[in-house]
Formats: sequence, C-alpha cells, structure tokens
Amino acid sequence: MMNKLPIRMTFFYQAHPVVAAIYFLEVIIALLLFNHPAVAIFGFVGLTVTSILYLGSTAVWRQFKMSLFLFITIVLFNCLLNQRFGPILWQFSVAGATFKLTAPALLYGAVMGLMLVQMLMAFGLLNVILPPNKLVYVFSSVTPRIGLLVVISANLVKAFVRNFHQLSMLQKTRNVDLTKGSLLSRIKSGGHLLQILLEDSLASGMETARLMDARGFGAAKRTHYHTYRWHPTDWAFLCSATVLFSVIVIARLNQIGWSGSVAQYTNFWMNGDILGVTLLMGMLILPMIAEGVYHLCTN
Amino acid sequence: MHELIRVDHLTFKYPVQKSPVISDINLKISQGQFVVIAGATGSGKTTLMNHFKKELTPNGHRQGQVLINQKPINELSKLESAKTIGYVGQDPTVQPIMSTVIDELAFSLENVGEPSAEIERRIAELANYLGLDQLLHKSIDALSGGQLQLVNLASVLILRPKVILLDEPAAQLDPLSTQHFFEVLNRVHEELGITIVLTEHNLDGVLSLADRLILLQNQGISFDGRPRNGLETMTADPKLKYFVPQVSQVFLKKDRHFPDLPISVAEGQRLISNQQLKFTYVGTSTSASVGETNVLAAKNLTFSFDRQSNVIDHLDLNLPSGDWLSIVGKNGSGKSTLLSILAGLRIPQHGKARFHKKLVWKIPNAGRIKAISFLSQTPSLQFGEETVEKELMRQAEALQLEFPDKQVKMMVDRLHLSSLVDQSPFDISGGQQQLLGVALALLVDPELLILDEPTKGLDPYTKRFLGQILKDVNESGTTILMASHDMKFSAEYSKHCAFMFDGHLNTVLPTRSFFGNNFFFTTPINRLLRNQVPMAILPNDVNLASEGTSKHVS
Repeated sequence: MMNKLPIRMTFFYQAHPVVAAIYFLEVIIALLLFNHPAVAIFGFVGLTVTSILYLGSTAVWRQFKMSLFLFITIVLFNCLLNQRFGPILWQFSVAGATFKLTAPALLYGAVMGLMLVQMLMAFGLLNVILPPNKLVYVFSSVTPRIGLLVVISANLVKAFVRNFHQLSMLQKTRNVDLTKGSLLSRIKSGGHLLQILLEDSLASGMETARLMDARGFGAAKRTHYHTYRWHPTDWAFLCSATVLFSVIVIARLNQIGWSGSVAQYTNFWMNGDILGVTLLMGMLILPMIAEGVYHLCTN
Repeated sequence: MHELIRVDHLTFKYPVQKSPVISDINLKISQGQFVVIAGATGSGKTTLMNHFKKELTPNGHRQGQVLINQKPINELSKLESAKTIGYVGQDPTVQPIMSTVIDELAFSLENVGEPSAEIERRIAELANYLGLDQLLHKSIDALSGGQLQLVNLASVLILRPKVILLDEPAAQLDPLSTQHFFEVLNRVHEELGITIVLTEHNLDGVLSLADRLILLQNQGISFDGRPRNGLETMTADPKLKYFVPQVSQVFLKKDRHFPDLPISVAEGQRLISNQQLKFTYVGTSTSASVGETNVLAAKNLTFSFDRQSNVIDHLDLNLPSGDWLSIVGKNGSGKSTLLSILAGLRIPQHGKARFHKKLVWKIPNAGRIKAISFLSQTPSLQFGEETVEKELMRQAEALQLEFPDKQVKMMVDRLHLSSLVDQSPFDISGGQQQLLGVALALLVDPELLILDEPTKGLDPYTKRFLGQILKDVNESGTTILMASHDMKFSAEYSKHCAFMFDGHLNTVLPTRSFFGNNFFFTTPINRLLRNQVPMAILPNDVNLASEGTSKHVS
C-alpha cells in the first residue's frame, strides 16, 4: 500500500515555486489536449497515484467522493442530450418520445466528466505543493505590488471572516442572534453586524496601515526578498517536464489522442492512443520519478 | 552621552478635547537609555511617545518641538525615520502584514530597499539571535501571542534602529510570555545598546530593567529619574501608589527607609538575605464562603475547532453559588473557548454544561442574558450603537428592565462613565471599553457573571476600582467565573483558582493555596517570600518583623 510522504520533505514541495508553477501549467494544458477515453482513464489513474503520494489516500478518497457526483451529472446530461449517433446500447419510449442510450454519448460524457475531475485533482495537488504564500511569491516576481496587495487582501478577508464568527457569537449577549427569529429579523441583524464589522475592520486596517508606514513602507523603491533558491535539480525537473510537454503538444498537433466528433467515440482504444497515454502518464508521474531519483541520491 | 531625542516645550491637544493632554513637556533621552514612561490612563503616555515617531504623530493642536538627533522630527525623511526609530504596539495581531514569519521579517527590509542577499543575511543573524529560527516558515496565524509579539519586535529590530518605542507591549500576554519578552528586550538593550522607550501600567516586571522612570501626571512630568527614587513619589500619590511594584510595597510598608529600595524579586531576596530581614504572616486564613448548590456544572466537555485536536478535552467543573473562580493559563490554552461554552455562546462537540440543571446553550437567548452576563476579552465586539448611552439603553431594553433610564444612569455613575455617554463606544480607549463592557454585564444583576480578561488595558488604579465593584457584586450573591492573566488581581479578589492546561482544569484550589503552591504562575510576593512565608501572596499578607542588622537601615 502506498503511503503519503511527509510533504515538506518531498522533492516536489522543495522545488522552486516557479518550477512547480510551470509544471502545473503544463499539466493543466496537457490534460486539455487529449479527449480519448483511454488517455482520460490512464490520466485519471496517473493523477490518482501521484495525489495519493502527496495528499494521502484519505484526502484523495474524500476528493473522489465529492467529484463522483459531478462526474455522474456530466455523464447523465451527455447521454440525455446526445441522441444522434450509434451504436445504441439501450432505448425506451415515454409519451411518444424515444430515449436512446448510445455508446458515443456514454463514452464522450465519461471523458468529459473525467477531464473535469482531473482538473479538480490537479488543482487539489497544486494547492498543497504551492500554498498561497508560494503562489504569491511566483506572482511577486512579475509584479511585486500586486503580490503584496494579494497578501494584504487575503489577510483582511481572513480577519473579516474570523471576526464575523466572533461578532455573531458575542452579539448573542446583546440578544442579537443570527440563528433565531424570522428571515426578515435575521437579515436585519446580519446587516447590523456587517456594519459593525466593516467599521471595526476599517479601524483595524487603518492601524495596520499606520504601522506599515512606521516600518518604512513607501520610503524607498521596494526590493523583493528571494526566499527560495534555484538548484540544479530544479533545472533538471523543469527541462524534463518541458521536453515531455513539447512532445505532447507535437503529438496533439498530429491528432494523437483527439477526436473532433462525438460520432467517433465507439471504441475505448483509438489510433495512436498508446503514445498519448505514455506521454500523459509520463507527465503526471514525473514528480514520482523525481522523488525516486531524489531518494536514490540520499547518502 | 549622545542626545537622541529632545522634546522642547511640547503641548498637545486633541481636536475634540478642551484641555491639552500634555503641556509644556521638556525632555532629553540619550543614546543607550532604557526609559519607562508610567502614568494613569489618560495621562498622555501614548500621546507623548507617539510624538517621537513622525508617522505616528497624532492629529491635533501642537506647540513646541521634538528633535531626533538634533533634527526637527518633521524634517526627518521616511527612510531616516524607519531606520532610526522602531515602534511596537500593544495589540500583537495588528502589526503583521505577511503570512509567514520569514516574509514578515523581510517586509521591513524590502520597504527600505535592501538587496535580497542583505535581507537574507540579516534575517539569518536576527532569527538566530532571538531564537526565532525554528519559527521562520510558520504561519503568522499559528503563533501564540508571546511569539507574535517577539516577531513584531524582530521585524522592527531588523532595521537596526537607534531607538525602539514600545506601547504597553505585554498588555495582552500571559505572565511567562511577558517575562520572556522583557528578558529579550533587556538583551537587546544591554547587548546591542539600543535605546528603549516603553510605556507600561504593570511595573513589576519591567522597572528593574529600566535606568530611568518618567511619571506623567496632571499633563506634565511629575518625576524623571532613577526608578527606585520615583517609587516614593508614586507612593505619596493616591492614584499612582497602586502602580508601585508589589516587591517594593513590602519594603515601603513600615516606617523605615531602605536607600536602595528593591524593585525586583532578585533584589528583594538579596536585601532580605544581606540584612537578615524576617517577615511574619498577617494574612487572613478564613476559608472562602460559597454556597452548597452548584450554579454551573460541566461534565466531560470536549471542543475542537478543526476536529483534529481538542482545545477543551473532557473537562469537568462544578461552580458553587457565590464563588469567584479564576482560571489562569497560557495564551491559547483554551480559557476563552471554555468561557464562551459555559456562557452558552458555543456548543461543544461532547459533554454537557448545565446552569441550574438546564443545558446552558439551550436556554433561550433572551432569558439567558438575564441570568448570565458575559464580558468578552474584546468588548468592542459586543457593542453596536452610536453612543455609550444608547449602548446601555439598548441593553436595558433587551433585558426588559423596569426603570431603564434610572438604572442606566445609576450604572453610568457607578462605573464613572458620565464623561463618555455621548461618545462612540468604538472611539473610547481600550480601558474605557472594558468598563463599558462591565457596565453592560452588570445592568441586570446577573446570577452568574463570566469575565474574560476583565483587567486588560486597565491601569492599576482602575483595576483596583473595578476589583472593588466586582467584590461588592460577588458579596451580594453573584457567582463570578473569570479567566485572567493578571495574577495579582486574581490573587487579591478571587476565592478559588484553577490552572487551564492540556484542555482541562487542574484541581480547583482556594486562592491562597493555589498561588502559595505555584512556582511560576504566582504573584511577585510569593516569589519573594516563599521560603519564609509560603502562604503570602499579597503585600498586606506580611509584616516586616525584624529590625535587621545593616547600618543602611535607618
């Protein structure tokens, strides 16, 4: 059984944030470049294995349960809306209207559902490997002011939410209870609390701004502290990912793993899928391979 | 010594006030001094200190001038100001900007345009010096109050300022975090030679570190000199006598004069040992009178915020009627969470808390606030009206009081709030907000009064005033449950105490036994005299018995 790695000790987590960000960008594009069932299924398997390694099976199972509903909904809607092509797997008539369950509709729906689930899984992994502070770091290199603005805004929102919980709890001592009474009275109370909160947040924001000022904010042209070091292994990982991604793009340009019409969805395996599966799997399990190499290099 | 700050005939008046807060202040602070500015609430300590930093200078009518390094403060560039004068405020949560400690430390240096390599060098050096190296990648939200205040100090210190201004930096910290913070501050002063200017109400821990005390009274400076000399001035004043450190009070009680009056536990113990002084116990030994029935009974309470670890863990508590129980413990130990559960404001995942056999969180809100009053450690979150008077009137209506106008007026008089009735509750000082919170809580004459850090932001005189009010309330039958970092206040007023640790309450003990048997969480008097008089916890508990042998005693 595969166990979750201690996240901070992994190669992937320790990789330079810019490298990780480029890798995720390539993965997300690569996932969108193929729409064949076999590639989608193997892509899902590859992402599941990688996610278990970094997030643990419990988190992946939780995510899977949440995604399952989305997947089934997409498949159902596709089957309902795609009635044109064959072969027909099953059909029935109600009040003169005939419903046909076709193989292309089922397969295409499953692929679309899987692609969406894959996106969610990729973002779930991104969230762990690139937490907000690392993401801000990536953006800060491009536009430091926006980076700082994002951090300050995120902190303000966090404080706002925290204070709202505190406020709604403490205002019960003043007989203001958001969980009791008619809808109108709850809306009125909620509005009143929001007003208090806004005033409080504004006052606290002003104080923070004053203290920022006291620490020289705006005194000189701001520099940017590079918290993360760029290592040779970052180059190796980035080059491997980019080479794989480039081959994926070339394959896609040659129509590997891609069909333009639902009518073509009659088989699980289609022309050239083996190459598409190999490339996408390679891309998705690249962090695992890097992890293996990293551990092999342990003294 | 090099003159760093000079204040010439400074007078300042806030726009809304009729008379100046400070008037004709003249002052010189030299490089390397450790200055404590003390005074009652409203004496102008913070106003004066804020004049030492251009960015913090308050708006209002000003006369006179402040010079930093012989340069008028207004002529100081923003860069010079940031690199010369650092500032740490009272509330540790307001200062941080970034989400991790390392980014927070870098923030100041990024502002002044230091290159990345230099930023790293300074962070590495400072983090190791202050012992923050293990916290560097921690989220700011995950730090305790004490750690956060250290990070705030570090983020100012990293700019290598000539002087650091601190406005009651330990007001929101528990005793051990306070002690650690002042130890670090002392190192910064002693080892780096950085000038420290600090305002503080609680002089017990900090006065022994200072080489200069400035007392503010009646808009001016009433004393400026060596701290131990200032204590006599303070003792003679009806308000400031409560500011005198408890260790010093023990030696000031008799009609005797000690030329080197001790102001710390270590100094006191040295004096006792050198002069073989003997103390006798004169404290009361009567057991605290409490009722036989429980007002509140909690069994097996368990609460978790994240469902990963329990903040409250299988906690049991029985609170007899008429009791005054103080809960002490470190920042983040779960005291506030426990109080909010016992006040019926939060529902725990497991266990029951019953107020007269009724589940406390199931009592309808309108009925519950008539029997249980709650004062939060952030009273402003309990406010919501435009003026202090309207705030009290709304509570009187919510409580359906028989004579709301009259009862509000009585409460205003009782808590000395009459000068504030037309002011916004959000604009008054922290200490005044605290008193307004108490007024709201006492409007109803509750059966159970729950107080979360009631002395936060109060000066010793106001604490005494509040203590007496709460004592009267308790004696008239109200049961009090209180969480506090204030060991002296808890020792003086509560009947029982308990320590919050690992999610539950350690054995509830009578106050004297509790502090008498504690080693760290106890009063300065107990620390000073535990070898001679183990049960002494307050200055009035002991009398100096022997005349001593030293020629210095007159």
